[in-house]
Amino acid sequence: MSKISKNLIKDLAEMSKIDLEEENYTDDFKEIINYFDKLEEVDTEGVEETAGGSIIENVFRNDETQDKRIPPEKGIKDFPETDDGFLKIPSVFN
Amino acid sequence: MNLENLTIKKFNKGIKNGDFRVLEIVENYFENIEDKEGDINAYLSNFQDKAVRKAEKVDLKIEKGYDFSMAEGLPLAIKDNILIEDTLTTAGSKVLQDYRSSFDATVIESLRSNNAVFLGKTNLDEFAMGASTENSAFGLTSNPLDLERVPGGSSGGSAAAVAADLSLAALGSDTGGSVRQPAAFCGVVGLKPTYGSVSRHGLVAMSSSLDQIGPITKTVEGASILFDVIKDEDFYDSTTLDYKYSYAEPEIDKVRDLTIGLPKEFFPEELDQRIEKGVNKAIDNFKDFGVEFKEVSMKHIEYSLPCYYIIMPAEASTNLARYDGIRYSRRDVEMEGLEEIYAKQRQAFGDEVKRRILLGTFVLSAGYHDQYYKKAQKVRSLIKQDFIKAFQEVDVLLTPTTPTPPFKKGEKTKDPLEMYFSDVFTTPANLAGVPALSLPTGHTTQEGLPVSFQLMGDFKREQDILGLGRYYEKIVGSR
Repeated sequence: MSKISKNLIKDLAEMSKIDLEEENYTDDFKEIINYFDKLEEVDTEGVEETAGGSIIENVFRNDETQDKRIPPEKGIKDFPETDDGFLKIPSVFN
Repeated sequence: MNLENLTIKKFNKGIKNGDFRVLEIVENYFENIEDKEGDINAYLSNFQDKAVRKAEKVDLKIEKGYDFSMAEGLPLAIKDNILIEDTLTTAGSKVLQDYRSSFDATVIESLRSNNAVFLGKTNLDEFAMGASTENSAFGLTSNPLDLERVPGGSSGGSAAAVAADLSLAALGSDTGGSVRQPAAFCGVVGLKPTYGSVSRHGLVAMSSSLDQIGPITKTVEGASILFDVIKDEDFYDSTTLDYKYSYAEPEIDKVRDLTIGLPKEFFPEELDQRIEKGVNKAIDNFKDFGVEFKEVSMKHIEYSLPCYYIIMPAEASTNLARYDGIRYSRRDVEMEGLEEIYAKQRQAFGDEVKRRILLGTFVLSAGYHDQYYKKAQKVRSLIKQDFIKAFQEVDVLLTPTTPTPPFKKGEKTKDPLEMYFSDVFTTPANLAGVPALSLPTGHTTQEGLPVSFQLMGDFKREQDILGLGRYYEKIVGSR
C-alpha cells in the first residue's frame, strides 16, 4: 500500500489546516485505508449512490425572516469578541 | 428513596400519588452525584441550583393540581453535545471549552414543555468520536459496574449516569452506535430512533446523514416515554419526518405475533462466546413465549464497517471545518493573519478528531473520491436494500449489540482500527436509517459483565422494537 506516505499525510493536514506530527498518523492511516479496500470486493455496477440519510426531497420555505429563535442582541452577546454591537474578529490579512 | 429501582413509570406514579416530591428525588440524585462522581466522572457540568429551583416550581404546580404527562418533571442528564441555552456545550473538546449555547436544542425545548429537570451535561468522546469515552478532552468516565472498565462511547457519561443512579434517564446521540453501545456496556437500555424522527437542531454535528439523538433509560418503557416526547417534526431540521407513534401500541400481548429475523451475518463463527450465550438466552426467552423466529440473510452487512468509516469521516471533516478560530472560542489577542488563526484553534483537536478529519479529507480528495467516498455511498445503498428485503420477510431483526462485553481502560486506545470494530453490529442501522434498540439480557458468568442484544425495526417502526422490548421485560420479569 504505497499510496499512503508521510507526504500524503502532510498534504492532507495542510488542506484541513491542522498542525500535526505526520509520523504519528502514517501507520494507522495505512492500516485503516487498507481496511477500506475491502469494499473493492463488492460489485456496485449500476448501483445508485445514497445521498444523505433522508428520504425527503426538496423541503422549501418562504424566504422570510423567522421571528422565533435567537434575537440579534443575543447572538452578538454570545460571540467571542464584540465591540459596540459589532462582531470583532482578528485581522485576516496582513 | 431507593433510586436503584426508580423508573420513569414509577417516578410518574409517585409524583401523581404524592408519594414523594420531585425535589426529594432531585436532591437524592445530587447526593448520589456527590458520593460517586469522584469514581465515575459521568458529568462535565452540574446544574444543582437551577435544578433545585426548577424542581420546587414543578412541585408547586403539582400541588395546585393539573393534568400532566408521563414525562413530567423527569430528572435528566444530557450529553454535552446537545445545546441548553446559556450553558456551556463543550462536545468533549478543548476547541469548544468556552462555548456558551445561544439557544435550546429542539429536544431540550420538547423536554422543557414537560418540565424536565436538567441535572447536568455528561462526558463524551470528543465530538462524539469514539467507543469508550476515552477521547474526551476532560478526563475518563468509569463504568459503574466495574471501575477498571470503560463505559462505552461516545455517550459514555450519559449511560454511566443512568447506570449509577446519577440521573433517572439521559439523552445521548448515536452516529454509529454511540447510544446503544454504551447502554450495553453499562447494562441499561438505549434507543437509536429512525433517521429523521428526532430533530438534530442544536446537536453539535458530527456526521449529518447518520446522527440521531436517542434516550438512555433503565427500562424499555422509559425509552418509549422519552422517545414520545422528543420525536417531532421540526421546522429547523428539514430532515425530520411526520409520522404517528404511540407508545401504547401495539398492545403488549399482540407483539408476540411479530416475527423476529436472525440475520446470520450478525452471528459470525468468531463471535465472542459470552455475547453469543447472552443473546441466545434472549432468543430462548422469546421462543418460550411463542414468538416466531426466522433466519434471514443480509449479504452486504460485512461491508457496513468500512462503509461507515468512509462516510462518517467525510461528513465529519466537512462539519468540523466550521471550527475556524473565529466563530466559537475565545482567542488570543495577537495573531498574525488567517493561517495562524486556523492553526491556533484547530491544533486543539485531539488525536482521534485529527485522524478522522484527515481520513475524511482523503476520501473526499479529487484523486480518491470515486474509489472510496462514491464507492461507499453505493455500498450504503446495497446495505439499505438488504434491510428492505429482510423486512419483507420479518418484522424485527435481533442481533448482538456489541462484539464483546465492556473492555478495560487503555485496552484499545493504541489501535484505532480495533476500537472501530466496537461498532460492527451497530453501524448498519445508522447507514440504513432504521430504528434500533439495545437492551440487557444478563451477565457473563465469570466476570459478571453486562451483555445486551439489539432489536432493529423497519423504518418508522419504533413501535415494533419498543413493543417487543417491553414484552421482553415483562416475560423476564425485570423491574
